[in-house]
Amino acid sequence: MADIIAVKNLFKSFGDVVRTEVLRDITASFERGALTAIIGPSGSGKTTLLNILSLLESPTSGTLTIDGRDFSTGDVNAASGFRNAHIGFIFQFHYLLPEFTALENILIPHWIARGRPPAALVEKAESLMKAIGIHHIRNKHLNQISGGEQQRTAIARALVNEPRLVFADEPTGNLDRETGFAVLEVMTRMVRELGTTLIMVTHDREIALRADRILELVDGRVCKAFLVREKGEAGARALLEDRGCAMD
Amino acid sequence: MIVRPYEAHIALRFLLKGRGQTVLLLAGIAVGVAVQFFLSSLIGGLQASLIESTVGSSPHVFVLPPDSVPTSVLAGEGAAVDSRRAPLLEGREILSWQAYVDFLKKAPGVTAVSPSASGQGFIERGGSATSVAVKGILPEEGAVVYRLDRNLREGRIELSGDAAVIGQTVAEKLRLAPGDRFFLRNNKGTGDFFIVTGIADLGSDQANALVFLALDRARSFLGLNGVSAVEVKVRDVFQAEALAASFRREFSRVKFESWQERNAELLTALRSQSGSSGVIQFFVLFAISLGIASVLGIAAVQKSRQLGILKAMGVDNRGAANIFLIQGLTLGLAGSLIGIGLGYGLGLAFLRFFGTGAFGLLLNAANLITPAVLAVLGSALASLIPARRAARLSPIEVIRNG
Repeated sequence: MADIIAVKNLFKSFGDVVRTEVLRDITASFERGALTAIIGPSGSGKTTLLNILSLLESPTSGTLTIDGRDFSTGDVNAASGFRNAHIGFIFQFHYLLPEFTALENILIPHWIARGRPPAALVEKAESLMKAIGIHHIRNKHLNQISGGEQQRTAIARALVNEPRLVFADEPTGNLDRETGFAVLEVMTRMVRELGTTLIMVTHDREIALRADRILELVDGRVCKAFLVREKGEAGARALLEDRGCAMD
Repeated sequence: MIVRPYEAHIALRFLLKGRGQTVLLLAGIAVGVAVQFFLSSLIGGLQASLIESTVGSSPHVFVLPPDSVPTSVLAGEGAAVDSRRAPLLEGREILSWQAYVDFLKKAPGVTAVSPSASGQGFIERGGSATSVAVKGILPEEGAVVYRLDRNLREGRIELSGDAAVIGQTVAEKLRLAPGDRFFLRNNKGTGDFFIVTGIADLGSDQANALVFLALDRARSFLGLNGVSAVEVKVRDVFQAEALAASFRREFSRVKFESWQERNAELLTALRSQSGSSGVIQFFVLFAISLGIASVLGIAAVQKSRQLGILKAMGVDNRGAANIFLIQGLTLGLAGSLIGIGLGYGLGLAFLRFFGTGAFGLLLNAANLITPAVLAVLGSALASLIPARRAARLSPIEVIRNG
């Protein structure tokens, strides 16, 4: 399969007086339709990389190509248009709008892109909710539903427009382990059914092992990058345990 | 501003969900608009009634003989006055009045023209003499100038032969009723009997001391060859001075005086009243705008998280700003509508409980629309501050900081 995202010699630093280099010379590509897990210790730059890949932040230098389009310059409005049309987000904190019900939250990306959602889309959203087991909370507001339900609502919202790309930053980070795995299960199933590309940041190796490909960052550099099925589960687990860096 | 559906959708939901804030803001705008509307209606009503009582039943422009006011003895450029420029015969009366009447009747904006003969008279009754102002008018035109049809309290308007329509003060002082005969003496000592046909209330004591006679009868009674003045009524009272100025350019042998010149103090008072009410209204609006700006500003901070996620989902800077502008405009519009209703009710209640009958409220379109438009503009301007904030907000800040 072809790559949907390619980054080359990507650098990102913060601060004017004291410059902190967060990403150093990252070159990587992400396969269309695959599930990639970005892992690494805290401060390794994984969230920053995700934010750059999802056009929320622009790189300091280097090139970023998504679906053949060059996004290295950081044009805010082009980025927001592309995000709305082609990208879905799932964050650690669900970031649902408390003013809207669960179903309305799921329909917001469509409101932004094309205005009032047609009946067919509302139906689609409802069937998506059924598929991930949150149909019963469709008319409830945030404060009336559980954390797992909120995160599943956020997943439905990310997927309703059938985006080409879904970015997830610690999507199960603030859920208990059992709920977390259930949510993850729902998310990976939906992504595979829809053929969407999913790029997910996690610090949890168990979760990472469910991905097709793992990219490990250490100190802002790519430390390891490998396909899980090529290494086998035991091999992949051993690679993750290894503190040294190895490229495939 | 082109509004995209989601902007209105989100803005209205923010307003509905922040019910407490929305109600407070609406109440603030409504009270502000109501106060402005009430104040301008009240002051408008007061001014209209003051002007009505001042000039409603009297002439608006007077054509006077040049000598009836002091003139300079210098004819400009330091030369002494030229005797030929001030004809002796027209010193205290206008002889060729018919020409002025014909001209003025055709002038645009003029509704009635009546020559008048005025002078001093004394009514002798019960052994005492009371001073009155005698005014001879043409029955039809004069009745229009002095609104005799509307101001008549008793009897009828008839001015022919010895008939006289008298002011209310004269009637009360001398206990005259329609049908009564009275003896009127002129300042040369001679006099004649007249019959009261009607009693009119002209609004002020000065005007109610008038005794109206037929023009020709008054001229012979006062010994005038011409008339004392030509009195003009115009359609728009505030145009009187402009019309007088245009007449001045046409004629140099007579003097044109508008009611504004005669009532300069009243006009100054009205102007300062309008000015002070304008200042009050400005500050009311200013206070409301500050309130909206601060409440929406706080709302923008409170909603940073929501705005951040909306921006991450593709809302652009304009969309984020519009969400707040729409909130401001909606609040302004809804608040104004409520305010107008409230102001109207306040006005009606005021008239019902405190109304003296001396003046009403001027409930016109300008008084209604001006505060509403200003409130909407004020709200829109006030919401620019949170709108700018929302536009500048970077989604990554929110996502990074939670």
